[in-house]
Amino acid sequence: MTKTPAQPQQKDIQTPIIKNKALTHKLRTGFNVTFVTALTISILVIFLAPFLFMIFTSLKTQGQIAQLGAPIWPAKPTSIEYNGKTVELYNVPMSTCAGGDPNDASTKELAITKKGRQESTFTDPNDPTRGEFNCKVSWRALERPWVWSPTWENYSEVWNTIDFPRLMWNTTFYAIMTEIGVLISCTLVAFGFSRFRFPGRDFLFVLLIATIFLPATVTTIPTYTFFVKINWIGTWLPLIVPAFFANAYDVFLLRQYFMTLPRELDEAAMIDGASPLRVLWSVIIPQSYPVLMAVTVFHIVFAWNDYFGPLIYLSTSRDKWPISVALANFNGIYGEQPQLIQAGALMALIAPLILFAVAQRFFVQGIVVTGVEK
Amino acid sequence: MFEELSNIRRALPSLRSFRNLPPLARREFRWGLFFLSPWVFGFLAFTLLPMLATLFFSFINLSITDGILSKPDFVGLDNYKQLFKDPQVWSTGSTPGSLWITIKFGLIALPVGIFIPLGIALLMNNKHLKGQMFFRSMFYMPYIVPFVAAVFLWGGMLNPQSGWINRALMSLGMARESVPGWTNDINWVYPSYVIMGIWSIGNAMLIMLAGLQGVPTELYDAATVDGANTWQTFWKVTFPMISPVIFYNVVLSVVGLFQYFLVPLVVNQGTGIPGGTTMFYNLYLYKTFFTYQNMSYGSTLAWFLFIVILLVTVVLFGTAKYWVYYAAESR
Amino acid sequence: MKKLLYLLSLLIIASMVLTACGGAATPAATDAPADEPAATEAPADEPAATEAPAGATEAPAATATLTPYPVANCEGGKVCIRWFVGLGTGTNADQITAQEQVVEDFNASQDKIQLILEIIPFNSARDTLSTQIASGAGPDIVGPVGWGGSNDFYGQWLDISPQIASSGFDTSIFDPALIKFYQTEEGQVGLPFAVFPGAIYFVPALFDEAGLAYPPQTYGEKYVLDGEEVDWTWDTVTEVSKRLTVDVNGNDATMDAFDPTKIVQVGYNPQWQSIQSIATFYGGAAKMYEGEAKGSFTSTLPDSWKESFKWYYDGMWGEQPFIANGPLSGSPEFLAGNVFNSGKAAMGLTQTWYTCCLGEFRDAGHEFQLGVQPMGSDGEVHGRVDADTFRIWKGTKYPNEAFEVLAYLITTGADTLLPVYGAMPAVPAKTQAFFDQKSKDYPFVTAESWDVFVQGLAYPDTPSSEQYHPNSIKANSRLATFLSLMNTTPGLDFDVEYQKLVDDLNIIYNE
Repeated sequence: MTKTPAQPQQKDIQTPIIKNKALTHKLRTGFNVTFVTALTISILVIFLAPFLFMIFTSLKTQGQIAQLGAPIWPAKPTSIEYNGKTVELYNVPMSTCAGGDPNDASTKELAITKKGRQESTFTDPNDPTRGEFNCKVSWRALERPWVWSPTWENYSEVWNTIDFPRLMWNTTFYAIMTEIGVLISCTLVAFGFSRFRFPGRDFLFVLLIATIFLPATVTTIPTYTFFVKINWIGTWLPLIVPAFFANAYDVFLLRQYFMTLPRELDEAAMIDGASPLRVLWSVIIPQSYPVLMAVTVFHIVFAWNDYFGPLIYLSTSRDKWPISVALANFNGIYGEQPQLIQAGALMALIAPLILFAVAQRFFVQGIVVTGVEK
Repeated sequence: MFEELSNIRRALPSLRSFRNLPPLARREFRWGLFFLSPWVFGFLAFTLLPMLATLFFSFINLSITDGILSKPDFVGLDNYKQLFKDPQVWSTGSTPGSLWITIKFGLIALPVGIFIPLGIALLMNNKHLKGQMFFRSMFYMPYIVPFVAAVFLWGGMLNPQSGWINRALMSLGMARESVPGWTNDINWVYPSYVIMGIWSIGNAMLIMLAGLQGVPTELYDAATVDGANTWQTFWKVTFPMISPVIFYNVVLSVVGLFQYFLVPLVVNQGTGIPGGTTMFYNLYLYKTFFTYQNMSYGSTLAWFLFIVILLVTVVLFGTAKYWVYYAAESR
Repeated sequence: MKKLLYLLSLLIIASMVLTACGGAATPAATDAPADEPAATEAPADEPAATEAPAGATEAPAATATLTPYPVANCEGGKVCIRWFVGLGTGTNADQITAQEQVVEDFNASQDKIQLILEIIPFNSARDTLSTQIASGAGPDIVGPVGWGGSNDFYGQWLDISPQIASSGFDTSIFDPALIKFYQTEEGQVGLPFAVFPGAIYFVPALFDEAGLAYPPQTYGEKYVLDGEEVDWTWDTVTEVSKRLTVDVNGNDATMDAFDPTKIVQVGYNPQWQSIQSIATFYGGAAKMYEGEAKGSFTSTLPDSWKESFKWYYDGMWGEQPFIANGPLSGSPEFLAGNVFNSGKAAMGLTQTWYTCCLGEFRDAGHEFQLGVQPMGSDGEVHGRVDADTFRIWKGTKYPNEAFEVLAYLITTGADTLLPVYGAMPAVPAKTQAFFDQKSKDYPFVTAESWDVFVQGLAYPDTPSSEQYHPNSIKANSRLATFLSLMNTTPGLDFDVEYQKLVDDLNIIYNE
């Protein structure tokens, strides 16, 4: 550890604790906590505004999405029954109405009975005796009383239309199968790249990274042809098998991380006679929980949203489709259904989000382990 | 470490003399190849062939409707000759070519794509932050949103007429006439794309966070004992220790930015509008390949991009020895 | 270039050598758990290794080496026929259900063929079909698809005359003119299935509010504007549309106080129309090029098309706009382009297929009726009739079986499919059943309205606005870019941009 950036010093200098100092410290910590947390919350609010848009959209009907002048939340104009018809309420400035006082600044909630451009006919629901009367006002420019009116049925519609449970099962199956492959193969390969010296290693590493330089656009067709030739179309195989043979993104990441781990520990284990596999299992992996979790989450989310691969390889077996492909069907040629796309996307989000929350426990554990072992 | 690239010629003879290596080196060689074997087999089975096939396409004349197994019509280097005088690739006069557009956008997007995730990761790793788990999940969440949902979402956020961002700007007192036109506005289209990119930084943040959590805590303690302030601690301890993952993010961002095309394809219909500013290189490639069905020229464009990315990456790896710190190599 | 090749060959040789060594080295560690995933996949791996060189290095005659398309769920002893949906209509939830029903019925009706449905989301369908065709693994049947979609794969369609002859299919149920419609240089590439005449969809409530008469429902009928009888021409439509375009204060586009930045309702919208279609409706059908061979092709866009584009552009960005411009129609409130569906367009010019997707419009409390297509300045009605059908990919292994399926789809299957596709039957006897079905979906639409579609059949566009022109994919893409440019750019130097378009087309045609 000769070149470690900052050498740990002996920590045996016990500063005598003075009461006052402890108090200052506490105050300072309290201030820091407040400051950091407040800062994070304010960034998060901006960050999550699009989510609010998603959630609100998922709770609207298409009519509500198209409603001009409406609040951003799923709202419905207030309406009353009038002569057997449903009529909507508007906040009308009373000065504009027939017989109104021009100096009257008040507005009233009136029901519109006949819409006109510059002048419409209203009635007062609180004063039915007054009957119908005209107000010289454009109804489009009026404020209106809105009520909260979410359409939860969008969620059940998604659930039923695209057979959501089956899609979830397919997606989970795909994600987990490939996850196993990715974790095993990429860890092995990254270990090979980071811990062994042999001629040609760096060259192979270049080759590995270079596989992602060629845009996937052009390799899609030859790859597809290859899987046609070996009769794999319509099965999971073209999607799952390659995952067991490592990929550049994850190997590179793991390799970068392994390179940050000092070699003293594994060299000590080697001298004790441990095989390289033993070293990987007992020395490297325990120190790498954070990055292994990162790769796990990274890959699950990739598989969760993988679209074109499952689409083309499973086109003849629609019963195997994952959620990402099914969601795209709400984006039809002559009319997309944004509310269903958003509802479906939010429903599909839950599983990876739970996984992420759970995975975090391992992040914390990662620190503990590295702390103990060093 | 990438200097080995230039040493290929030296590396190859040493392969031949494998038998002459000392026993310990031979053992290391064998184990190394053993660990690499999953990738090597996978590469030979699934990756090499398609790559070679596209290289082959770049020397023939081939359309999608011909089928890739049709009798090849060799045209030599014609496709490459066409590429080097293609006004869609190279800037001519005041009209920017797609390569320059890509680089220009990359120069804006790359720093943002590195420093914002790093900043958020530092915040998430701050010991004073309460409810870390919750905040991490929240910042990660946008990354999970499928693209098809995100497109409509950003339509709703960035629409010049009724988008939330412009509504917010107008409620802050901006005039309706002076709010940005975002994706339709020649001056705001790149910022729009960058904003969309920032929203889904979850992955980069996660990787940075994993790096931060791998920094041994005693290093921080030591720095504190040494009396280093926060800024010094960051530059002396944190940054070197996480430089390998930052490097990873830089390399992947560069590759990703050179291959940027999905957002302009969907958001601006792949037309290059406004004013040709969104005709990115890889978008042009995609259109050539799939829309115009010209597989051979599309493959040519792809291999040229391959070379460009390779060169840039080699330079990046060359700089790595000045700023990337590998504990495992420090002996 | 040479250097690159050198580098690459080095890369490849090196990887080969290394694998050879690696292969020799691995047995030394057989106890390795690492081997396990590889080992379990071994059977799968082997064909991969043997197939690999054969696939790419040799390129024998196109179809000779192809194995039948592998379909995992193909039952033994049956011919599997794949039906690809996605290039046109057919991907909405209710359409998927109907198509699945047809497949089920067909499979139950006989025991030699298994029909397999492939439904690809519209945005990805073209790329997916390209991938399949390029790999020599195209589907047997593609459709419903119109001329625009099928021209993207020009030369890929089977001439089905031999199958018609050998199967004894009775073509007399169709109008001979419609059969001829599907005879191209490629042969008889299809049989009539669905026709989609155009009409003006309008929202009566918005006309009532403005105190305007409804569009006529019979061709030749006059329109009453300000108490005077006038012809239902594009000028009339433009004037009416302006009065139906309203800002938030209730001013219409003809008023001085009108604020074009606060439009809440537009008078007119060409719903889901291509730029060629917009021009055909306004300026009349036209052949887009002349010339016989590459090098001699020239663009022949008529002046009437240029006027159409100018009219469309001024409709969005002029002093008195009446069409939603790009940013407006792209906003969520205008349903990201699906403007008529938002209830904020008084009139929408589109084809029968749009009746597929007005359920949300109806559920939001809106109603529509149908009016006739307007006359151009030459006194002629420039209508449009889209036509969709099913086609057989010429690489199919089983042309006869594929034709058997096709014949089923356009006869028995049509009863289920046409209503959900929003398509008028090509067989006149089936028309009433179609309208009955549609009336169930939209009970408020009158019989007079539905009849507008029947009348519309008399006004097809010849040549079609989806006609083939040289290098058509690239040319269409250039035209679409011009449309986007008009949609999104205020203050456009129209003449300059139009000239650029024509110049580019002349280059593209001869590339």
